[in-house]
Amino acid sequence: MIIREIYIRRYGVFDHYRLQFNPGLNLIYGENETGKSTLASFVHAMLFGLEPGRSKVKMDEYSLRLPWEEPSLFGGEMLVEDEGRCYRIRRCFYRSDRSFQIVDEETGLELEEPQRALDGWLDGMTEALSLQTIFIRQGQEKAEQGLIREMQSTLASMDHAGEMQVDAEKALQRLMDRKKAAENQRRVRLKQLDETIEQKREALALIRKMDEAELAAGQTLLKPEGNDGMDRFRGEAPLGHGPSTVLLDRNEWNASGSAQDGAERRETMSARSDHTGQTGETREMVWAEPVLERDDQLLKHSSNLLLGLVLVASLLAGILALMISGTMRILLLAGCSVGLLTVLVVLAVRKQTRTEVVESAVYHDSQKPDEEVRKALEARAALRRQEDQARQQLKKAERAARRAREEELREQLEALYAQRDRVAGDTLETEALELAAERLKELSREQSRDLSEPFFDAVSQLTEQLTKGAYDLVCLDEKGQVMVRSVEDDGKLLRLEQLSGGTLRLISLAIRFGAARVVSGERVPAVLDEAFAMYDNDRLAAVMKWLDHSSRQIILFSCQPREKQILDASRRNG
Amino acid sequence: MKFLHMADIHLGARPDSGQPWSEQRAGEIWDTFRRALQLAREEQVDLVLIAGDLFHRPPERQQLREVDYLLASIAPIRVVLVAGNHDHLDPDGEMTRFGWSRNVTCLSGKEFQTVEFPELGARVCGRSYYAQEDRRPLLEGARPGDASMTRILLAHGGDAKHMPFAAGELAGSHFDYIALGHIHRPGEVVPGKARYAGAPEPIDCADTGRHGVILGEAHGHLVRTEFVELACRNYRRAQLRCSEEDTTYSLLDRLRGHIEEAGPRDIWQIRLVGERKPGQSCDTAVLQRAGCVLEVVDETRPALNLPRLRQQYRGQLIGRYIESFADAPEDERQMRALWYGLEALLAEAEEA
Repeated sequence: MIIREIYIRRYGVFDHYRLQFNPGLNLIYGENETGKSTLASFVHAMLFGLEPGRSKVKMDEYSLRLPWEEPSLFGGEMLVEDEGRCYRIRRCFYRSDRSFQIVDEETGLELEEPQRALDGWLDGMTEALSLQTIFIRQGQEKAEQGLIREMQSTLASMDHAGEMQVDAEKALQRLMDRKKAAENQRRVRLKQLDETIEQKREALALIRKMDEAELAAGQTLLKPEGNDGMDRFRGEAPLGHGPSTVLLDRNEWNASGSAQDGAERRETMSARSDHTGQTGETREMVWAEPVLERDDQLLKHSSNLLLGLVLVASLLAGILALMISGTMRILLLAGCSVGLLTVLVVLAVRKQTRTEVVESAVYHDSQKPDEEVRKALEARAALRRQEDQARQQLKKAERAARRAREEELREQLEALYAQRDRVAGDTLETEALELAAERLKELSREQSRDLSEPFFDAVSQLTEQLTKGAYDLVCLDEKGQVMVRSVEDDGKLLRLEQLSGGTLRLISLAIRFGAARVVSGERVPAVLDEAFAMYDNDRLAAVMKWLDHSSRQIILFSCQPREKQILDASRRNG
Repeated sequence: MKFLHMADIHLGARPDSGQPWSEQRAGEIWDTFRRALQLAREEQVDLVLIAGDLFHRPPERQQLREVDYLLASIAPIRVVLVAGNHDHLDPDGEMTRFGWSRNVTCLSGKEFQTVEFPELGARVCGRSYYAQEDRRPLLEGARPGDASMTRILLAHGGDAKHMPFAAGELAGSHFDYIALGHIHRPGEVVPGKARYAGAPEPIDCADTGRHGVILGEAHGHLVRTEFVELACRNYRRAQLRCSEEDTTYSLLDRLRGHIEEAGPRDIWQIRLVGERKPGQSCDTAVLQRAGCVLEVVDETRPALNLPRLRQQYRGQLIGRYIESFADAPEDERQMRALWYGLEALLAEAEEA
């Protein structure tokens, strides 16, 4: 098929524009922004159609080229020649029209099945394939890595018949993205669970701390005491934590698990006090004021002596006062009075204290006091027992609440751990995605290896031409990687990464045209828009020479005059 | 002699912790217990049997007082209970020392104890748990006793760690009725003789089916029982069939309609089955707004006509991909790998 002429009614910046082409190489030169890319786009649209917003990935050519004025005229005509006969393709791209006709120029008759006829001329070249082979758009120039990926992708997408259907690399990327998303989701869920678990554990730890604090607050230091002939042990509790002392009998002391008699050890006050107040107990438990220690006893004896001396002195002073007269008598009388008064005051204070001690000593010494006093003491003891019981009840209730909460937290933690294990172990999604990716890679490699010999023959031949014999073979290794044979390096096979950027571009071009050749021969014109901007002059000269001798129609758009200069020079040199 | 048999009440439990209805469920467990006692009153039973796990955990005094009040309120109906593995006794625990009301007997021994009700012509034999596990065989040490009475065994167990037994052993025992607890689903172990009452209010999402208590009538050694449903709500499972046309919100509307019609108070576990549009999935978190939905599992498959695709893409990468899974085992991993790979390839083919 040869494109003879294009006529643009309205397309991009063009309005009723006509351009003619020749067989072979057509070089269209123009400054930047003169519409070269628009022309290339029009040729492509006339052959393959133009759909509005067809792909999110590809540039939306429709929107880009839709004319602002008279959009209903969006379209044009293309005159093609196939096997000596001319046909006029007419298209309207506007979404509300979208007409498509092919008219036989000779007969003037419209073909009944225009698409079928066009498919025949295109001979298997699809829109997708064209963009990966012989339709090179401006801006598709890539850096080396991009070129390598593109070549691998082209090869991976070719099947036995050389028909390209799908970009396996992109499909693989979709799977990898999905796997990443699934793993992220799982990670986030695990993190949420871990945070919740940590909160519950902290709550449990807090309960344990509260238990320990209660335990420490209620502890008692117990010392053995046996001065009164009874085996009793005294405990002293910190102020503000219940009774100041508690006396236990030897059985209780033994029952508390002491290692040896008389040793100091700690007991839990609350546990001991649980056994108080029970009816029928003969255990002698007393809530008493602190009993004086030995040093205090000594002090007491000393003060009695002093008191006695004061009394005697007072009496002597009184007797002397009776025997003498004058000022001395008055002084002696005063001294006697002060002395006696002092003794009386001290005795009064002691009586109060003694009464309290006697009250305490009632049970300690088993004396039987006056009935009323006994009842009062019993009532006070009972009141104290009630207070203590109430305190114990409250503590018990608090402990019970803590136990219940602890149990609940443990159950919740158990459920959370089980859930975490399930989430952590649920790798089905990830495994399935990994299996899919592995299978796809494997099939792509197999497919690449199975590509028909003609394809690699064509690519190798083109490579040899374009590189002027520096490289003469392109093939695939067992891993499906593209390898290129270097003639200068004694036939060594090199990977694409080992080649220079310039050589990579040539091989990329060879693969494109080789693929096109395998699919549809040389029938379909190639449209190259600024395809060689990055080529150095030597390589450009090789390419221009090759293109000029190609049996395929080439339409080359360029803003650089050097293509023409090189072409002219090449033709002059024959 | 008429009796009501219940077990596994789990007072104090908070099912489905973290869900919006969890607190309410805790109250519903108490409500159902009260309704069971109300039923006992209405049916004028003579005896209530509680086969363990009355409480979710060893109870405190306040809980015991509340329950004792409820049990005392149905006097003169007698109540006999044993402790299970959840509310197991402790020598120093509250339940061991608790003074129950006169019509309530707790068989709190580690070994079998018996209480007789001559006026009813019945004797009840049972023992309690003192730990979370008790691996002694259920019947070990159990003595049916006086054959002139209706002999009832009250027991909590049935797996390796909790008073194991064999159904044949129960069938061969001389007890006239074996009131069992521990398994939350009601069921007959020996027809007409040994039954699990099941939890009257389900506690866990595995407790699907009906829940309630057993009403029984004994005439000498002949005992008849029937199950009476009592639960406030049930755990239920349902399948929602999807098609390619469905979206998340179309499924939400359909699920809501189904739940409102079939059981708006129930707690649901949903499985999505059928087909979905290739490359798209349903947001299961949105579907949980349809009601008391505990879980939504997506088991839909992409709407891919594999034979047609295989034919259409014969010889090409897509076709070969499908063929490569033809002999693979039909496990979930392989199926998903096939769908995921196909979805990716078809998406690329569409883009191309």
